[in-house]
Amino acid sequence: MARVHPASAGPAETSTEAAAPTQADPPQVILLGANHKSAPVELRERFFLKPDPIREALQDIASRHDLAELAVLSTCNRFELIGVARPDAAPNPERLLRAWMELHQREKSDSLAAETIRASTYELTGEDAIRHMFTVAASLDSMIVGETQITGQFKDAVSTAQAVGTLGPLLSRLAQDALAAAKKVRSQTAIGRKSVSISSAAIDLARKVFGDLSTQRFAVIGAGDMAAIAARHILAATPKHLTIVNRTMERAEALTKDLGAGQPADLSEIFSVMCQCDVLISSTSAAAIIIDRNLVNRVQNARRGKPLLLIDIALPRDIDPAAGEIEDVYLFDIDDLQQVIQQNTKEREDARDAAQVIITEGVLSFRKWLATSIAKPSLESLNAYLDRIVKRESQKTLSKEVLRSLDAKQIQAIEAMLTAITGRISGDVAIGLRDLIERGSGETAAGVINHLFPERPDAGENKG
Amino acid sequence: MDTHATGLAAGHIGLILGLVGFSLASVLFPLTFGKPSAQTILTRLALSAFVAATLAITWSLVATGLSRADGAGLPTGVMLAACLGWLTIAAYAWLKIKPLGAFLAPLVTLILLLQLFVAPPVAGPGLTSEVPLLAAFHVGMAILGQAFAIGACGVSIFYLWSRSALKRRQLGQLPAQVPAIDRLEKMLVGCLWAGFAFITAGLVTGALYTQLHQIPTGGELEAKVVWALVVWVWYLATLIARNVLNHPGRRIAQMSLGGFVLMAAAYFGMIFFRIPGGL
Repeated sequence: MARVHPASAGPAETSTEAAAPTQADPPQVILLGANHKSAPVELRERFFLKPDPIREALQDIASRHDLAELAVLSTCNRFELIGVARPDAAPNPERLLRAWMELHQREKSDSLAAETIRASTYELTGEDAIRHMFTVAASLDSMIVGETQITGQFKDAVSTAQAVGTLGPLLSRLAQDALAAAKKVRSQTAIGRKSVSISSAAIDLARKVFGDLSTQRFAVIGAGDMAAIAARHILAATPKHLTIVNRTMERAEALTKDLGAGQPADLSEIFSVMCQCDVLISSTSAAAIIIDRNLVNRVQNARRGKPLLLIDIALPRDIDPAAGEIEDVYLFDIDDLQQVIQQNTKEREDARDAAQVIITEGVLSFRKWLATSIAKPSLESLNAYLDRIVKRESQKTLSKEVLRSLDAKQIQAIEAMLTAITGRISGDVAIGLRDLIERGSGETAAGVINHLFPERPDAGENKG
Repeated sequence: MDTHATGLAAGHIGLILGLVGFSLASVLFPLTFGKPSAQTILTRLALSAFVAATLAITWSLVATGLSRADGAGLPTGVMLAACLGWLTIAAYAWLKIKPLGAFLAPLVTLILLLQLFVAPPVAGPGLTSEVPLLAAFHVGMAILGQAFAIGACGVSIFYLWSRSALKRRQLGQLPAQVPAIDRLEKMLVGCLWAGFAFITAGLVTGALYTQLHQIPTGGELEAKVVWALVVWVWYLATLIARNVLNHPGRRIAQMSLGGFVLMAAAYFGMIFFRIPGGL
């Protein structure tokens, strides 16, 4: 993501440190972040912070940089500071930049230059920042669109800020709404329905052949990284049994120990393993085929024609392609899985538009809440102002000589009329303000009311 | 109008409504294989039409049966259609095999059309007190046997479709809303066992009935018995192929389709050649 320059990011971002805010200015969300699009992996590695140091430093950093609210989202692909400036401080992302630098200086003794951060980050304020938060929580801004990890990381970031007391009403509501929209996106669109990794696509494939995997027996050949990932995906599907087969028994044993499940087996036992399993995933670094057609043929005879799914995710391939011709044997290789992944990725991308609609609804709803919460004190301020004027002017007028002859009932009627007039004015302003909120200009209008009718005991003295 | 006439009229209305519902389901079910976005709504509509039609013909059978105090039988075609309808609904509810209706709805429509326009008005004994219980049991077993054999044929079609897509590694061509191939195979074998058991029971009770009531043999009855035995032998061979000779799922599905063709030939042959007594 390109850095957002103040000129291109709307009026909210043109404020500078010098522009002193008034008390009437509505609070604004400010965000400074780096992700896989804006920063190379070397920088993302430097930006990444573990949760503990963030928890320890967050409150102090927030107060030192005049931030009323602050949360940090730190993942391997993303580092973002989300804040709300104090009412008496300008909502400028520059505050976040200094907070960022200090956080890294403190926790990693890493003196990141301001220019280094600026060159690889994006800064957002107001609605852009709000929309970005919704997009991140819904996993639309992730490297793999629709991955689920980000939602958990987002929740962790919110919990950390809540635990240390830097999560105020605004960020709290924002996080709540963003997570609700993310949940909606996940349940109502195809964004996360299809697998986009080789291992998870292999499990999906097994599901297509066998349906319920909890009654199936799995075997994985190999004990390398890919095999370990595949085994973890299999275990997540709670299979009936898992066997890890490897040429070196020690490595198979080490993997089963690491997984905390499964049974190790030597490659020499492959015939008996295949006779007992329903799904076999092969992922070795062998240079030649290790499961040939004859072996599969013998296995199928022994299995009495029970279906066998063979998934070869090794390169070069471990399983003889001719084995797929045998009855009730279904053989897939990495190219077939790639096709599945491409198709699934396309479906996720296609679901983006539908997800954006949900996000826009969420953003609008949040803005309405924000504007209403801003408008509430403004209306209270206006009512108090009008009450003060009515009280003062009625006292002044009724104490005049010409009105001394009025009895209590007549005075009551005059006071009721004045109250009705102010009530009508206040009611009309509330309707107008609600209308402006509906149209998206509520924050500005509320700010104007706050400015014109400040809640001061002397307010209205000169205006009345 | 007396009770008898009212019952027959109600039965007839139920039959017409059932025919309309199954015809509608026949059109809607194939559409569920189209756009994924429209699948849910079309499946719901098709299933609604199918369930309504099944209820209508069941009501038709009950109304007709209750009105026939004279001991006349119920139309076996309608009985078979109702049986197939309930089997499809059960398959949807418990086994989640949603598009089975795409195969069965047109077949049931055809059976009902033949029953209305081609078959003799009353082709078999009804379940009334005047009809011997053994004969009623025989008809019930035979109809259940046919229904399960037809169900096996429907499952075979989806099994062969899924197998072909998997063998060619065309995962996008796997039929939607159908259970995994492993489950389809188990369902196929289950249907074959159930169908075989009912057909066997039908044959045994039929033989007992003809012996006990000294029904004269020859002509239409012999043709009926020969066809029933051919179908029975075929299903026996299919089960032996699966359970003893370990033939692959593909072969069993193909044999199940063959069994259906034999059974259809027997059923429609009896109707078109107007052999009194039907199947």
